[in-house]
Amino acid sequence: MSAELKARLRAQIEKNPRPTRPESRRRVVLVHALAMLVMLGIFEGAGGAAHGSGRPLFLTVVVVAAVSLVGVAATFLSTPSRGSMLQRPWWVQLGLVLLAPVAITIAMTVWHHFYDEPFQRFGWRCLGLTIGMGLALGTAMFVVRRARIIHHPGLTGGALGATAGVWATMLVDVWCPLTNLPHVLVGHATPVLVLGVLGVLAGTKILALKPR
Amino acid sequence: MSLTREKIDAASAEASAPPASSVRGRTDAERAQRTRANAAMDRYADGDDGAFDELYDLLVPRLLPYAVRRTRDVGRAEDLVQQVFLQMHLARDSFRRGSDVLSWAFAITTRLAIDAYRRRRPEVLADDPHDLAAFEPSLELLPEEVAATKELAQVVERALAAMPEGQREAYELVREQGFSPAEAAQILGATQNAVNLRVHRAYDALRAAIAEASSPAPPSKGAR
Repeated sequence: MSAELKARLRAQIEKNPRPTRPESRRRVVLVHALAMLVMLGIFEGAGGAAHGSGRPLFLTVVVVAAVSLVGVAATFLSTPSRGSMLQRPWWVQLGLVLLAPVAITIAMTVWHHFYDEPFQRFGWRCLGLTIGMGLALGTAMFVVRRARIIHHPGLTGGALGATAGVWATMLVDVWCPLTNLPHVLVGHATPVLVLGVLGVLAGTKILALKPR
Repeated sequence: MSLTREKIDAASAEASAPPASSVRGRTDAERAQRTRANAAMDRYADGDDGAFDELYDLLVPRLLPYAVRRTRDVGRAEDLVQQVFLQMHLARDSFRRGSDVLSWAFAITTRLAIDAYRRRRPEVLADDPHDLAAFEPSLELLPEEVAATKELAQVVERALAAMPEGQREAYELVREQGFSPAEAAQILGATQNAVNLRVHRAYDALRAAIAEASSPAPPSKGAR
């Protein structure tokens, strides 16, 4: 019985060849590099770093560093823990979707009183840029995890979407010199939430393990 | 044949006791087996196709009985195990070095079993009890003890079948497969508290079922 099952499996595996881990690593790097190129293309297309030159360089570095810290934490929480192939508990992922926009808001607005903002904007362009860049990175994250998430694929998608949104926000922060609360809420926190919600919706369809 | 008081007490105590592996920690053999399975999966992920046989030989003795319990049918259990290995093969490039392959395999089994269960509710009793008997532990007992044990097993089986899916899964992973509540929580995608609660409720349900089976039947109305 067991030998027969093994033979059946062998035949099925031969019919479905899969890349090995070293082969796949190159593909993963390529997909993410492509996403970053798209993000940089959007960034440069919008005016690049020169657009944010109205803010002191030191403060730009500090804001970007603060948002990067949020990005590192989000990346850590949206990937499985060490020694496991299974995602983190559902409540961690849900927490990430809900709290990432809050963390972004705090990480940006605390610097608001250290300089005079060069101009005032409501934040629609930041919102569009962040969603565009986040979609590029999020798509790459989804592609490499397609049909592999065993539990709560929706929440995993949400966590990945929020993480992509945080990293997109980091790049947009180089471009945008504004840190006042209404602008940050509309232009920087909302897109992270939107990407998280889109991730939840797409994750259920794309990331869930599918019977073969 | 009715259940003897000793057997009921023993079964009740056994159902309530935490799993042996949780109390004493995993045995060295079990740990070594898991380490070997992880190493085999690592080699398989790196492209050593020969490691698949070792992986299969290490995992199937654990997975197949679990799949039989989940599906209540040997044929479907084999199909399920086949699906699990296929999923592991398809995702082999994403296997993280040093990860626990056994938890991963059990999580996939549980997920696919739930999906299959939702598509088609399994029968409470096996189609062919002789097939399932191959996955039950063999005991060298006297005929009357065998009969009483079988009766007790049926009581437990019925109680397990009547439990909500989540309770049964948690109980089987912790009590029968020897996973810690933390590992079972990861496998089921639940919190550890939820797993502890489900296992506790499963113990209660089993104790109640065994106690009910042991209580004498109420006299019929016409009896004097």
